[in-house]
Amino acid sequence: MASDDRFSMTTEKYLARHQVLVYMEDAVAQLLEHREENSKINPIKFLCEYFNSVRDGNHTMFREYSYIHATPHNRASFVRLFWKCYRQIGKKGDLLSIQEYHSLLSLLCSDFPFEPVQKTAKIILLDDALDCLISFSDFIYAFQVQFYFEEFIEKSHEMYQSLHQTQRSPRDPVVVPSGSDDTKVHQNSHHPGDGVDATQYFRAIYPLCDRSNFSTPPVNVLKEILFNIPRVSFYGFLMAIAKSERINEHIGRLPSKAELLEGADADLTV
Amino acid sequence: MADKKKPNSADDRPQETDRQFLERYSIGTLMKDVLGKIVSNRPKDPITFLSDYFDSLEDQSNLVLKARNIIEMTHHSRPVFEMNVRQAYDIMLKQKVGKRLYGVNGTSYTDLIKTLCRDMPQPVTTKLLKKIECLDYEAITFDVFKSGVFTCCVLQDYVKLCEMLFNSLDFQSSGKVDKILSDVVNEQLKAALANTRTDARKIVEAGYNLGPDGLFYALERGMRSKSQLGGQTLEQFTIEICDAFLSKVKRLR
Repeated sequence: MASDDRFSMTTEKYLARHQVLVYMEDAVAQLLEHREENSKINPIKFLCEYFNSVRDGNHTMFREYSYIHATPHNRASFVRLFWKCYRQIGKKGDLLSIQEYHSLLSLLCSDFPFEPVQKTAKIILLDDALDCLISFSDFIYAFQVQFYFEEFIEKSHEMYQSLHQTQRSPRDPVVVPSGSDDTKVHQNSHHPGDGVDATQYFRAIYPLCDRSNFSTPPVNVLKEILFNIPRVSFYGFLMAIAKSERINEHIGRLPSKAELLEGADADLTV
Repeated sequence: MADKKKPNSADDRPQETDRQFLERYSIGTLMKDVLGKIVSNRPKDPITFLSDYFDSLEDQSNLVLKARNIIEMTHHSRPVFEMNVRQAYDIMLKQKVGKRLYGVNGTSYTDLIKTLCRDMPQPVTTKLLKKIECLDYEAITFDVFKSGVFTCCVLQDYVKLCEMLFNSLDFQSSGKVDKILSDVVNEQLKAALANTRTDARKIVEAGYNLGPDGLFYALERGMRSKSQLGGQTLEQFTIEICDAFLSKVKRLR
């Protein structure tokens, strides 16, 4: 497309595509922050080191959540940082709870919220029993997808729900609330044999991939996932994305599953 | 374009101090400058551009390096390339060449050419310099400067194409190309470029010889010859293929 050529697109679009202003503003903010600690600072050198670390993906450690969340590059770099710091857990084969994974994340980012971790668990456990223990390998690929494609996942969930509504069968149980307070009905929103028509779902979410200002998975991978099965459940769909090696390569920060635990040793090397 | 916002610092010192600090080092001007350069040069990767920019800014001493970085900010086909070459020349004019004498002489010109060609095999650079070199003490005018720099940039593109050609000929991915194939390709290239006349028929002929059909027949003939001449590495291949380019470079004198 002509407008995709970086020379013919508008200035705003070009700058937005690479989030140039985000990084330049953050660079100045960081410069001012570091000035307080070190009065003999050389601004040019600092700026050079700042952009070097952004370029190399080493810029997210101990930064606040809003910065880590701000750009796709930051999110992907943070996932990679998590992998480098904690891969020996994978090697030891320990299974951890989501609270423990959240604590690990908080060590690298003090204000990291719990919600993304919860959503990650939903993907792995297919929306059931959230106090299961999870392996490192399962966690990191699901977390990568949840964090990197956060907005896409939200939007596709909305589409899934609206599609599902139109297909609701009249034989579904209708819960009539009784007078007493202690009736608890477990609404299991995961219907294994149910879901929606896969091709229809693809047609619903495919427009998201064209004009979005958030990251989306490549369309051909979505086709791969959705064209080979007649029906799909939402969390089955997300799990397929999380397990997809092609999506992992598309993001390009984590090694493949076979090589995930290589290079991990007892010392914490980053 | 959005205004450049200076972020509010959370400290309890008066705002003046931060602003004074930023003014002292002209950070505002610096940022505006680099943003302007990014917008006009449209680098593929602005982040790398920014780190290279501040890197070269730090290293104030080497004018040749500064000039080179400016020349390489964008591709030579872009309109802003000419402005960048002008700016590079102005920077190199500050070089001291004698007692109270400043300007671009043969030495710094040659240094610039060499550093622009740093990714090419040494023999290629040597041959190029034989064509466009200037004596150490000669004053270099902007025209000479511009033409030399432009030749280097086009040669950089050519060397990249050589590598792509090498990779296609190396269909076994062994790191070496059959010398027979390399010779055939070289012959075709030289034959196509040998014509100095702008005769339409000759141009069409040259196009055919370098197109899929012409190349196929030539390569097939070569493969059938069955002689074993060994393999060539990328460097040897590049050196030979560059001969065709360099033969077209006009000698300076």
